[in-house]
Amino acid sequence: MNLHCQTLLALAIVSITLGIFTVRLFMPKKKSGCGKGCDCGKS
Amino acid sequence: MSATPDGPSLIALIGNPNAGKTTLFNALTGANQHVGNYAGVTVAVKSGHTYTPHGRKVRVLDLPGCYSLRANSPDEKVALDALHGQLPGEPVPDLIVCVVDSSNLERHLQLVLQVIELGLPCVLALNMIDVAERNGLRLDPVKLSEELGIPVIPMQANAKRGIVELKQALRLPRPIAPVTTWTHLHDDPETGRRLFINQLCELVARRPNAHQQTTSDRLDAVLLHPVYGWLALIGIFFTVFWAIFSFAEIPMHWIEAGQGSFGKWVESLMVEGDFRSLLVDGVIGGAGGVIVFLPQIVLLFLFIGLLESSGYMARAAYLMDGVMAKAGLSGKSFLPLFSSYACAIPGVMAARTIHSSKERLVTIFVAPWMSCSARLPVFFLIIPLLMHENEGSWKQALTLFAIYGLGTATAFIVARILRGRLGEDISPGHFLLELPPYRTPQWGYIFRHVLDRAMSFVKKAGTIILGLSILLWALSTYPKSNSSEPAEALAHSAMGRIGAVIEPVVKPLGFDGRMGTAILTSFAAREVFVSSMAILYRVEEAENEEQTRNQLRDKLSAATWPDGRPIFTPLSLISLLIFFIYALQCLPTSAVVARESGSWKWALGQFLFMTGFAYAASFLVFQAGKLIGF
Amino acid sequence: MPHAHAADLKIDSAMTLNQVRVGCDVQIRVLSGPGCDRLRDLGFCEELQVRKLAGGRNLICSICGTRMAISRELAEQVIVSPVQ
Repeated sequence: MNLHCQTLLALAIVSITLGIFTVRLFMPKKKSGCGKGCDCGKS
Repeated sequence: MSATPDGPSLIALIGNPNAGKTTLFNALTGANQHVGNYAGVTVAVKSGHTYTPHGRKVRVLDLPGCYSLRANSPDEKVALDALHGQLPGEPVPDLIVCVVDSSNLERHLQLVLQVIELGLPCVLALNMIDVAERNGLRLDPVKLSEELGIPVIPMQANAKRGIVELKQALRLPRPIAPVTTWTHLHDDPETGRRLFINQLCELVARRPNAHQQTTSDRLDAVLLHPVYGWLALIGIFFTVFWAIFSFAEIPMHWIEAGQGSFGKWVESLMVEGDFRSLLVDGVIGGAGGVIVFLPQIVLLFLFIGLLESSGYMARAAYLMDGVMAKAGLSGKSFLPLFSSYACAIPGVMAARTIHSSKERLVTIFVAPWMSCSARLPVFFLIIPLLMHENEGSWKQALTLFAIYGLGTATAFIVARILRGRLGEDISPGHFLLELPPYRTPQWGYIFRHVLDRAMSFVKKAGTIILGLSILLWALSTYPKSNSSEPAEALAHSAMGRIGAVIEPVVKPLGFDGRMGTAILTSFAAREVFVSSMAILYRVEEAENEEQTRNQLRDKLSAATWPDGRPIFTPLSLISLLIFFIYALQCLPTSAVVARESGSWKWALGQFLFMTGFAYAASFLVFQAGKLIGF
Repeated sequence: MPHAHAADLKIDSAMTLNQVRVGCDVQIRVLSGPGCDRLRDLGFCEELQVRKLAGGRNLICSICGTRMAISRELAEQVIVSPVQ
């Protein structure tokens, strides 16, 4: 994979990640028992 | 009412705390929920479903444990609401399953009678018959059923005995609500129930000798002793910390070595370039840098599970009550605060069992200062930097103990002040706690719970932390400069510029721009601090090619200011630790605090206060240390 | 047969749970005070036998085979007398 390809690929991945984060931020939040994002294992 | 002609569609489990409701719920629904044999652990209504022997689906609600339907505390109120169909989204249950501890009928039947008086169909689950049998109690379930007018099913939920019979009861059409035969016994309903229960227990639950000296009593003679008990408490908790450090070392070395080799292998697959850098530095270095702490997380939850399951936690709460009183709290705050050592979110929710609303608010306010497990990667990164390579793990354990101690002590002081400012309670609550008998830990539940937490941790690392690592990598790589000097390239990137802006703000705390940036990113998730550091300090790697292990710690030790002074002096490390002990860096926690306290202003105030406090504390420590000449 | 020692007996042989010596078996005579509802819910009822296991800021007693810890203020509201 030459240099140019690598940069494109890396940028693509970064953009996708950014996109996922943006979508999650504005997605309707489902109110579960304890809220999102914690790692407490409770439902 | 959603009952079909074939039988109930929604059943609710109700009973005293420690009657084994949640165990029964798990046995019926197969769900993995947290089981604590400490009064008040179930704070939310859990729902699941099970199937009758005929394959019909039945929904099950696990209501919070309560001693009566008088609704003295928030979770008792929740249970009462559920029975009246006033839980949002839930109708009145078709059938109530009253779960009682058979070895304690005199005390548990109060609630059962009150539920029957509501006029809803009931079934009595006579749980823990093994304990009753062992205590020499002679039970007569048939007579009990006759007298109460409802089906009685003996069972042992933790051994899954009696579950089938319970499901048979679900198969029948709605049992006719029984006529209450005790309300006529006395004018006062309380007394009437009590008289009935006394008579009933004489008939169906004859107790041989009320006060037998058990193994639990012998253990309590030491563990609840005013002096020995405290020594035991401190000893036990210190041992837990030490064990976490030393037992985790070997698995951690494996993970680090594996991470290093994996990184090298990926490097060998392609020529130098952005994508390779993304994979090796961003993904493997960043997200991988957090996974290495998995062994410690697992051990922490394992020990918490063991302590709770064995019954020791209740003793700890009893001992701590005196100390908590000095902070304006009570022993009831012990479990919420102790749970916060694992994660503040269930801790804040467990505060529902506290009767006094002012005490509840204070508990919720200081809970984040019980250093939660998300801070562990930060602590475990920094503590070894403070020590020399080969210092014993007991020294590291001591430091960790001191960190927890500092957070806890400050929390108590602030709690005391806050409690004083909130004023007296309208109706003072009283300390009240059931001390369950000691028992061998329920390994199945503990392992499932630990696995649950481990998977959550890995999942978090694989999603949020991975994503943030990728973004951080991008910010520290672009825009690119033409220079081949690593330090200059970093300064040119977006991250570098942010760092330059932040540096004046954090320099008085002893941090450089990169650390300041890493701290900023850790407000998204504390563990990300480690990933950020790995990415931001990788420029040092180019100078140390002889390193066989890709350890972040080594990179950090070598980091210097432009003038050559080492950045990570003991003083700046301590300042960093202090910042992390005190700063509130968890948006989900703030969200839960806002919900539980009923006011977003409380949550906002908490955030501003704690973060401001963190900054001030770091500042004071670093500047004072420099003055002394540290 | 009375369990209590002579030193434990008051003039009318009734006392609060706080005043009982550790290790003694007593019988609950009456509950009086603002917390008695709560106490009854937990099983502290008239006529039941209680053994005091520990005293101090919070008491530990054994009632119907269960170990319960209650505060001094609550224990003050439980009037007991030695087992007859």
